[in-house]
Amino acid sequence: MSLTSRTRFVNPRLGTYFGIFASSLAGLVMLLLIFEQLGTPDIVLRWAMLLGPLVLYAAIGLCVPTQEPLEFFAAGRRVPAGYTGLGIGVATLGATGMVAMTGVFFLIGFDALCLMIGGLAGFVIMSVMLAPFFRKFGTFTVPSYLGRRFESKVVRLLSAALLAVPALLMLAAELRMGAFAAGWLAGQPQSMMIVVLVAAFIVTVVLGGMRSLTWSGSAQAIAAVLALLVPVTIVAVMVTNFPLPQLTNGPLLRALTHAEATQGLPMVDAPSLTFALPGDGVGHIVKRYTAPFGAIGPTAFVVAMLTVMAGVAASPWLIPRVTMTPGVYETRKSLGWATVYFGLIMLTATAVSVYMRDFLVDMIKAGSAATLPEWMERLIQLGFVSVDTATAPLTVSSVGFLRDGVLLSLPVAAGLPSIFVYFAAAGIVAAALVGAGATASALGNVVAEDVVNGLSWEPLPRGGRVHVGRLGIAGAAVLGGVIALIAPTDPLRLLLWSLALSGSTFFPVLVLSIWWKRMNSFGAIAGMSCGFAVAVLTIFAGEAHILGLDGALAGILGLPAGALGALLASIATPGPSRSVLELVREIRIPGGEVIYDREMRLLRLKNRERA
Amino acid sequence: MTCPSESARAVKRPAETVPRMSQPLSASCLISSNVAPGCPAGNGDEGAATIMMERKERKPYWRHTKWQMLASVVPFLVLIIVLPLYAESLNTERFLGFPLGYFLSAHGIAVIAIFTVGSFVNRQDAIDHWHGAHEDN
Repeated sequence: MSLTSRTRFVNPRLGTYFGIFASSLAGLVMLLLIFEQLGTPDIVLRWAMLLGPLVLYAAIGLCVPTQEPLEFFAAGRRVPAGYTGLGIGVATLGATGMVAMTGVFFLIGFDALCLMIGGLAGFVIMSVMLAPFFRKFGTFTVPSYLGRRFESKVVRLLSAALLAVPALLMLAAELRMGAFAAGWLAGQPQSMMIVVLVAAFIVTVVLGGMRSLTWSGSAQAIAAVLALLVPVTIVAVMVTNFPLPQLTNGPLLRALTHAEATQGLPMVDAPSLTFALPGDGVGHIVKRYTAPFGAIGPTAFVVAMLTVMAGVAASPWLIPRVTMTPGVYETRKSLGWATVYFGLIMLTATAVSVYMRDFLVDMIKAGSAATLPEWMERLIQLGFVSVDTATAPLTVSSVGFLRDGVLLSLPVAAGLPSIFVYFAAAGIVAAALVGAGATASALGNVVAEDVVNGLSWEPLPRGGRVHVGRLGIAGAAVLGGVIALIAPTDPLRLLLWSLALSGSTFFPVLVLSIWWKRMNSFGAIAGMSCGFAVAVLTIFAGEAHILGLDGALAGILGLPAGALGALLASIATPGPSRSVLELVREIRIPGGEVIYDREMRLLRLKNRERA
Repeated sequence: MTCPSESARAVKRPAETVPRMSQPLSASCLISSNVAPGCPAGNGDEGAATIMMERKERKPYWRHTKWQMLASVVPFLVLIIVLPLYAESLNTERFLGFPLGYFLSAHGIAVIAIFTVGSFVNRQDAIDHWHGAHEDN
């Protein structure tokens, strides 16, 4: 009998359902475009663009309630590779990736590629070294996997505790970025929008858990990708007559390079460990777009890349997503799709930044501070741009751009109707919900499975288990909202700290748990503790300017510390038991029954016999 | 036995010739893929057993998997570290209007990452089938 079929569970109508969703979204945008031309008040259009998609996401989430633990925690293991990849690709950097990265590309150009390359490398490492084995094991959370792999409840509880820190940082970053876009769209304070987003997430997810999250998250990811692609593609057609913005901005970039040289934009050489990533306020262009290592030094570039790579590959909120695929082969494929979507989003962000720089350089070539074009006046009015009118003539460095406003500025600069700006903002909200949803649900599942029930290998009874899961997810979302409210830090910085912490804490232990049989529970405890402690200290030292090393580069010390701790403690203590060795051998083989599902099945049989 | 993944791609073993195990895999019921003698067995799918690869196939399978992992990861890591460091000198050349160093570091690495994962998926699947470690279709 087949227990690991590749296609058995997949709903053949998924494409139809999401086609209907995409059509509804396109219909909403076109309807609002018509209403805009008919003179409907702006505030109505803004609220409609914010609430319309939110209602659709909530409807999808509420339509798939469940009481079954396998459905609640793993969406029944029947999410096809394409949808899993879409969710992972968008959730990896979430709204912060879309918005802040576009701004960072705009301000420092080439140097921001370290984050993009790190994300891509993270998917490669995850697909080759981690995800297929995690899928074969089949647990719903990373601490459950580590606890069972090392037959240690201490490992399970410790990993659950350490996981909470990066997960909450990521959650706060996503909520802050989502609240920024939602607040701008609705004209309301960001604090209120954080509450609205948390409430929307809880309503969407609480009935169906990961099942709701997966399907509503797929819809949100589709909306986010469409909202990013559509305005840029229109601009690409306007500028280059070709609807492929990622590949056709080359000639524009060539002209931009010449214009930057003639306008005297300097060629900067940053010291090797400099990591001058633009903050979340107004920033100025300080270097040429394609010139490397002007804001981020070469060593910092490589370290940031490897830190992001490890953080993405070992993200405890991304890895459990692969357990929802129908099998190991689908898991590998899903990471391929995640790489495609992530690459597409990042290359689109680079295209947006090139178009915006081109608009800016053209404006500076053409006029003076006294005769700003209409679109620039509008951007100043919206608060996305500040121009230093005291300097004459106008130069690139006299125009300051709000880092997180660059993505929203493009439709304005291209003279598109306001609805496209609102659509882009709604896309940012959708991406924030994907990122926040992935993190909050992973954290909630950890609370339900590994904290509340952390001292027992037997799960709670079916009904109670799902209810605890609901409470865990809601509690995690509320906690993330509170942190977002009380810690007004730059979301991009929060994201980078989160990746540095998750990479340092979990990457060495997760990789060694699969690829090194000799590793034991002492090694896991030492590896996680050392990696986490060193990364936290490095972040604090970086913020206090003690080490001369930026906190985002904490992986340079955290990763070796975690790996060394795991290796040395494992070697210095007795080897793992025979059953653990057998378990590791079985993890490595894709075929056969899912290990966790078999454990649950045998547990049910045992309980039945006992009864 | 030797199984370079090249030949694994070209020659897939027919399903009926894949070695199958006749003994329970492990000492413990909880960690065995088969329902071992003495383990509780219910009716219907509760007591379902799965067929897995032969024990003697495990080592060659894992050896090939390790080589495949190294073949996928090492060149990619070397490339993403080295390529951006030479971007400035490559930027003097153009491709599709882009400075070559920038183009290779952005578009090039994205395409190579997708290609790396794609080729890994195919080759590892071929290795799984060759050793009988694959999932049931």
